[in-house]
Amino acid sequence: MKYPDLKLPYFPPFLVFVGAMILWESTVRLLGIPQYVLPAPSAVVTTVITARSTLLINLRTTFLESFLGFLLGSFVGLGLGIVLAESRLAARAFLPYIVGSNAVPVVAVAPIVVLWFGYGLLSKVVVSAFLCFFPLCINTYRGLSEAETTLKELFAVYGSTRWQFLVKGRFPNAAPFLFSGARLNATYAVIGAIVAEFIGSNSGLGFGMLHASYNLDVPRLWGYIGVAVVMGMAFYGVVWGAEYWHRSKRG
Amino acid sequence: MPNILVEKLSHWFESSLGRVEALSEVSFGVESNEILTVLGPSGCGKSTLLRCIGGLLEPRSGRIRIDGKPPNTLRKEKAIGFGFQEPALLNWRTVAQNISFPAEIGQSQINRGEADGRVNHLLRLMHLEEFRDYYPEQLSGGMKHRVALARALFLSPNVLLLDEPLAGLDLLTRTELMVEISSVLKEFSCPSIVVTHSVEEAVFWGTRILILSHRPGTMIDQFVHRAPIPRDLHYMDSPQFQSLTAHCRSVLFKVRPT
Repeated sequence: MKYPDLKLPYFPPFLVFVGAMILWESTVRLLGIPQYVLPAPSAVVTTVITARSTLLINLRTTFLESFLGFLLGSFVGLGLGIVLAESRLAARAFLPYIVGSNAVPVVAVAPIVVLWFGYGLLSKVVVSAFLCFFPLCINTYRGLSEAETTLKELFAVYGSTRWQFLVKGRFPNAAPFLFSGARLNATYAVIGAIVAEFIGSNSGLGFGMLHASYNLDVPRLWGYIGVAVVMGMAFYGVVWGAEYWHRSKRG
Repeated sequence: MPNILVEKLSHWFESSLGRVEALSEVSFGVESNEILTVLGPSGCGKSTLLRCIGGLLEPRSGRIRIDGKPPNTLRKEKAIGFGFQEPALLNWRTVAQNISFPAEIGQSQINRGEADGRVNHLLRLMHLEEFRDYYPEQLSGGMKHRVALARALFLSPNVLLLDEPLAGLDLLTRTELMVEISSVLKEFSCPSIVVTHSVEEAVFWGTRILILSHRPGTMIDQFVHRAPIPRDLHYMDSPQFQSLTAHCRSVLFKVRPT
């Protein structure tokens, strides 16, 4: 008999998933837990399948919002990170407020953003971007500032311009930092979009969750949560894949 | 006039503990084909001296001329080959890309065909041919130092400045590379300054040896070493080598604070 190779990277997490599902399902059944307290995974899956058409529409909305939010937030974060790293004065002046912005409770800001930008796509993208500009900004700043004296001198000794040093030295040197910022952003973007949908929307996973909980459709609520998690992980996976590809190119 | 001229060079650093004197009125000249080794204890300002000559550091006082020009001018003309204490390789570039790196920086970029030719030559010279497409992480310490040296030589510099080219290597690799560097210095035969704290390395490489005192570094001895270059391992057993290293040691230890 052949056992599956435990060293395969996907096998341990798969095993944990299957184990957790079995435990969850059997606990619910054996203890007779009512569905509105904790639905069994089988009930959640059944609901997801029956409600798949609305779910897909909501998924598409949130996907678009968080994808655009990710792009916008990362773009702003990256740009701001470069400015901070390039100018000591800018870093001194703005860094405290950038850190402060990360401490702003996004649930409280979201209603304001919705008020300003309406119920549609834009407000979701803005909240999502707001949440995910910070990790990349700080990581870009740190990564670019990381360049050691020797790297600086290596570029200086060949009369490097500031631009050449940034593009050919500090940026590639900062790649691990940039990727870890982008990975955080991938999940934050989804959370941001969903939070904004909670405040005011007529479509999206957050809207679906809210709707399900108003109707006390607990299995559906769980289904939405599961879908949101899978989407966040998929975003993360794409960034991770890009990082893996980048690293493999470096040998 | 010597190719490298250093006159009354002094430098100090300001730190929270006050002024730290690094170099005090050091003067010397390096002729073409001359390999000057600067020997001195750790922290005597050897690296500071090399950085000033390489145009990476503006000395507080004194004058430096390379081919009659200030170091900064030569640096911008990319006419200085500099080897750092650490190999300082760019770990996102292959060996070949690291060697040709100077071509992409600053002004006057050389064309691709010529760059390739030079890379191939240096790979052969430094015994790196098989490692052409390796990344720095995949190399041993000695290999990294070879790549760094090849990079310093890539633009056939007017002057070559090497800061502790064997720092952090084990004894066997050091010895092996010491011999290789001697023949590379001969092959490129540009005025060179090599800084080291090792008596053997200083005598082995140098056609002239300059000894610096403890901080602040001042010149305490200087002598010419006429044995033909490149030198090989047998030379290390010769009476001449032995007596010169003994001389260096006596100079160094006499001035050591007790």
